[in-house]
Amino acid sequence: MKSKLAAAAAILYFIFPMSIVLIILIFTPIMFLSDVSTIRTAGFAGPQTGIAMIGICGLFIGISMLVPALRRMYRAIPWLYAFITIFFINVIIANTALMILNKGYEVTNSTRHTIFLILMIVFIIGARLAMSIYFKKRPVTSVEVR
Amino acid sequence: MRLRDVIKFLLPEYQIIEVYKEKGFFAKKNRMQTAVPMLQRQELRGGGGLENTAPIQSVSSKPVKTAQQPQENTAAYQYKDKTKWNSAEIPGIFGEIRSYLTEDLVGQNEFLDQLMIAFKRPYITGFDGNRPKNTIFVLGGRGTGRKTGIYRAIHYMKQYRLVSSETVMKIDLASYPTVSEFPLFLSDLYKCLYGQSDAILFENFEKSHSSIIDVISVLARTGTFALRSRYVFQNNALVEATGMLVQNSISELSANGKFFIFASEKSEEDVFDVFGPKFMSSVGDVLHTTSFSKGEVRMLTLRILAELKEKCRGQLSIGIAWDEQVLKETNRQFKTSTGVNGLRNYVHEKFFMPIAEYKLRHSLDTDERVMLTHSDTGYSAIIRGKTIPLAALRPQKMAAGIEEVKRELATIIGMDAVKEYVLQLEDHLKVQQRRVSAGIQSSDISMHMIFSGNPGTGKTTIARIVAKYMKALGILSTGQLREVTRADLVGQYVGQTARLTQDAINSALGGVLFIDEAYALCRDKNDLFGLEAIDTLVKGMEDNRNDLLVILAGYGDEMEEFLKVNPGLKSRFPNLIHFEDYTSEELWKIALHTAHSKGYRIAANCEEPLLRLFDKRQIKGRNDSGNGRLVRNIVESTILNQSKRLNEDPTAELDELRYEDFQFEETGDFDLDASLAPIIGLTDVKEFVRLQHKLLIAEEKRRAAGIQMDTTQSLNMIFSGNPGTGKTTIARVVAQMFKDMGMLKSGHLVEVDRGGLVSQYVGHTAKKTEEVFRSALGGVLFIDEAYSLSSEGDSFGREAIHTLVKLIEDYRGEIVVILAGYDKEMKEFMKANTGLASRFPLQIKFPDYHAEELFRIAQKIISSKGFRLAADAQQLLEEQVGQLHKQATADSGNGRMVRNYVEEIVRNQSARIATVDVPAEEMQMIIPQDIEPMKKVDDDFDLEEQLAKIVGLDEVKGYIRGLNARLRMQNERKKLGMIVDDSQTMHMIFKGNPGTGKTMVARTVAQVLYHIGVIRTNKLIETDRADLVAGYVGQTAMKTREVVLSAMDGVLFIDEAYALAQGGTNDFGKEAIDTLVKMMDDHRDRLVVILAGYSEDMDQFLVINPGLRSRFPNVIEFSDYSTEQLLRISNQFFEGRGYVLDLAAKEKLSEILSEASKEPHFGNGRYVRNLYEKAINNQAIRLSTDPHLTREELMTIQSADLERV
Repeated sequence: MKSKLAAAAAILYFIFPMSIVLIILIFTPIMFLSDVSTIRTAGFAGPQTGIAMIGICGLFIGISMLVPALRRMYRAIPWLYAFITIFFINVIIANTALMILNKGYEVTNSTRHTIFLILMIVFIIGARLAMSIYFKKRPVTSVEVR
Repeated sequence: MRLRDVIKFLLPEYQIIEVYKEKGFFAKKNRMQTAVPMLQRQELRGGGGLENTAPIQSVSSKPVKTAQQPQENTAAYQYKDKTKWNSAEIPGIFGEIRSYLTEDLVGQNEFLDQLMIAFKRPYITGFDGNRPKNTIFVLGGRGTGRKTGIYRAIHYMKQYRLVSSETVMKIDLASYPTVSEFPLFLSDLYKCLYGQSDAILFENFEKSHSSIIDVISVLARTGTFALRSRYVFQNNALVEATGMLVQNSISELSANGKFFIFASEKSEEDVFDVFGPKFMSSVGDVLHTTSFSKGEVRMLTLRILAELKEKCRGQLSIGIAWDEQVLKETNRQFKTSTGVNGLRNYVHEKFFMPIAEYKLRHSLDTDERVMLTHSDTGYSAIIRGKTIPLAALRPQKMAAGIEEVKRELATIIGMDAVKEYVLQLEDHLKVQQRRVSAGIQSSDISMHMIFSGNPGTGKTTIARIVAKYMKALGILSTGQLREVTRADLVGQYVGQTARLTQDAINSALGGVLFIDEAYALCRDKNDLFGLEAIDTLVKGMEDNRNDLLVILAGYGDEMEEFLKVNPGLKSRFPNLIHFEDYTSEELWKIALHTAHSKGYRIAANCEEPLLRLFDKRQIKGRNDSGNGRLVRNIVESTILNQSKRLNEDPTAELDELRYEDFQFEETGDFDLDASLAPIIGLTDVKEFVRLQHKLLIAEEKRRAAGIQMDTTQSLNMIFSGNPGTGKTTIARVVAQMFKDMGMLKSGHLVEVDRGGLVSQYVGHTAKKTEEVFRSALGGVLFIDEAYSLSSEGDSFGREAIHTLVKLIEDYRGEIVVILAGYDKEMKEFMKANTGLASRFPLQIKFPDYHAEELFRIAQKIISSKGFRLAADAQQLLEEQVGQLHKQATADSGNGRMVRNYVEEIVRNQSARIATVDVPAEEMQMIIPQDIEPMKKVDDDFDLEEQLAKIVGLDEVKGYIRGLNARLRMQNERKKLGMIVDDSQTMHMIFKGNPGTGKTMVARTVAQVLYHIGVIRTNKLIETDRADLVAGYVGQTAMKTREVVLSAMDGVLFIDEAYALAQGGTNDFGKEAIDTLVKMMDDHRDRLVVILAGYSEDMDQFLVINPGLRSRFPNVIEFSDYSTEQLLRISNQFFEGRGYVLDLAAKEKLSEILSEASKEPHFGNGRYVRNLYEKAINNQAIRLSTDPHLTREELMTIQSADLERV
């Protein structure tokens, strides 16, 4: 009975917040390039949504991992844990990169714009490399039984 | 690296696909199997596992550690295994280690070979990560290199990476001698097992508790030990996790594959005994060290001297050298019992410390050369050409020599037996040493002692000297005295006691553990903590047999009780030394000594009074005089007094304590007559006291003449007499007299009664009695109403008596016991206890006071209260007291009765003063009005008037008239002071048919007797068989007694008395008669008994009980009434109640009566009454139908109303 309830909770949780989180996780990297091009063509900083995005995703993911009942969704869908870990980091990187770019476009100054664009690219490469090394060292697998 | 790997690296997202490929989109059904444990997974991945540090091929010979399996119950061993070895190299490695060890250690070749084998064993035979690699026993004497060998071996093994750490964890099992240290042991064991080391060294296993041995043996055999509960490691200690929800709690300890090494001086058999065969089978090796040969000792000496040289150079910058003499002498100092360490200490003490001292005091150049030499005077050093004896350089320690201790012992006053014992120890020791030098085994005798004796007898002082003496003799190593009491040994909570006691023992090691008031340790078997302390003590004594001396001190009796608590105690303390109380001479010497040590001297004329004073204070069995302390207190108070005197008289000598400073109690001549004079009466008693006094005077004279005679006699007395006869007063005089004559030491009077001796609970009585008795020691114990101790079925009272009897025997001459009580009861009391009579040879009877004595007492009380008697009141008071005396009974209280009476007079006087105006000078005057007459004699009592009411019975009337006249005359004679025969008995028997007026006459008799003053009340108690006889055995006497007591001071009328004697031989009626007769005799003056019954039955009754007739001299016959008399009676009935008989009725009445009186059981007066009542009834029935009644009709009784009954 208890486990069934827990399973139901997990399914519900997966349908409502988690699916949205998944969509955000998938689309943020995709939208990243268009965001960058928008800023660059407009020449003005876009809206600062990065922290909110990271916060919302982090909150729901955190809940899903902390609550034992919800954790079973990671067991039921083995790839989910790996997916969420990697893509969440991607989201962080992308949003941070956007924030850097936004910072640069706060002021209308082409030199500054170029500097911050380069800074952003350097950051993305560095962060991605770090991520690669980390996951090389500690490959993600399915969630382990704790 | 292939492109695929690069892409994999750059895009970690690929891992998601891998997972998907591996596990599918949804997890498969059998999820649990696929969930790989973390550790295994890490191994699979090969990322950061433990094995990564070592190449595969080098661990090929290493066993797979099963402990890698995470077990929730067992704590995980966290230190990394840093070992790295190849099994092929093992023999070579150990060969090299062996060669290093040869350089490090002198000799012991066999031991080292074995040691190598022991350490090599697991690497050859294999081991797992759980069980100890090997369990090794290293046995051998102290200082033979057991531990050094092990340490060095482990050190080298670490260098060859055979072990991870060179630390050897050490557990001293002697720290856990009792089960209460078990948790501590677990903590320590845990720290060792899970600490960073590869070997654990267990020491002193023979001193540990068996439960600890169990743990070790289980660990050694199986590698794990299951704890009895779950534990958590917190704050560096294993804490039991009861009631806590803690993660990582463990319930199992693991040996973690360490070497278990046991070092001991015991033999192999002892080890076998302690651990048992099961454990010994799992022991890998048992090694022995041997004692050093001469050559080896020489090498050792050289080595130690070389160490010294190195040390001197390093620390003192002094280069030393020595000659052959030094080497030889040092060599000689090697002792097998202390081994290398002993020698090292010796060298340190004798060479290094003095040289360091020299360097400290004098400035020396760096690299100064010092040459050590040895001559007959000891070691000396040659520094800059000067020869300096080394021994002089060191500050001398307070090590008292034997001679010094002996001298100290000699200064102690008295206690010859104790001194002798102490000195005799030396002789024993000398002999033992000779035996040892002759190669015979020395026999250790148990030196533990018990000092029993009263406080202040010098127990502590002697203990201190014994400690020093033992040290000087070499029996004890340090010779300190550790003084403890119960509070230091017994804890507050369970488990603390053993630890406290163990601490005390440890602190006393090498010296003397002196337990003062040891009996307090354990009063009885219920004192569990005390018992625990004793058990620990006993064990500690056994464990440290050679280096601990325990002395128990306490009072004699208590110590004996104490020894019974633990049966092992007595045998462990074979030396029972009793400290006698000091004699007065010894106390005098102590006083001289004390004064001298304070810088005073005692004047010579004080000796005699001081001796007397000490004599008085030393009461046997009191224990509270303080002995030595008493002297100190006296001397100190005297010094104070002297200071006061010196202030007033500055010219006096400053250091002299004079006679007057002591402020001796002046024992003036005891004037016996002066103290007896105020006591009124009691001439016999006074005479006895005077006689006793003369005995004492004679004794004093003999003593003065120097003749010693033992005239001590038992002075215990019995004072028997009624209450208020002055027993307590005399007892007080006796106490004072004995004290002044020196028979008693303090002469106080302790007054108790049954309540003071007997307790409410079983077993307390003896204690209570003893306490009271002890408090009276040196004085008089006065037990009032002593007979009450032996009442029937009173086991407590009897216990008190037994205790008393024993104590009286024990302390004869120290106490006078006086038993007081009523004459008769005391006699019975003495009969009940055969031993008592012989112990109380002096029986003094206190007679009741005479009237005249009572009057004098009354006068005395009045004057002592400050009142005055008016002249005319004197006479009245005397009369009244005489009256009181006459009415007095045994328990009315003699003197006390008078006191109460006087108090009443005083009350009356106060009442008068309050209501009437009295001049001030007459305020304390007692006038006749105050002395109220005791009772108003009813003078208007007319006997004839009373008798006239009775019809007929002339004979009876005559007897009563005679009685009245006789008593009146007696009163007159008494008033004139003539001799009166009071003893005449008044008891009567009334014989006669029913209804002849016996009861009525009895009432009249009671009136007469009352008015004449024979009895005090005019009450008449009417009773019969039913009131006297009860249904059960033993009740009758009580019932009868009650009835008789209720009739006391009145008349007891027993109707149908003959019925008491009816009903066979076993009838209780006889008992009633016996009781009655007895009480009649006892209270002859206060009771008049009248027996009534039918003539024939009463005659029969008197025949059956011949004793009765003599007791009832007055037999009065009540004859039947004649018809005429019956008529008069019936007339009295009718006319007395307002009826008139008409003529016909009168005739009919006379007819009926004359007829009825002829019937055999005619009711006489009672018949007439019944007839009258019937007539009244009939008249009422007759008149009830008539509605118009006249006064005439209502009064008249017609003949028809009369009817025979």
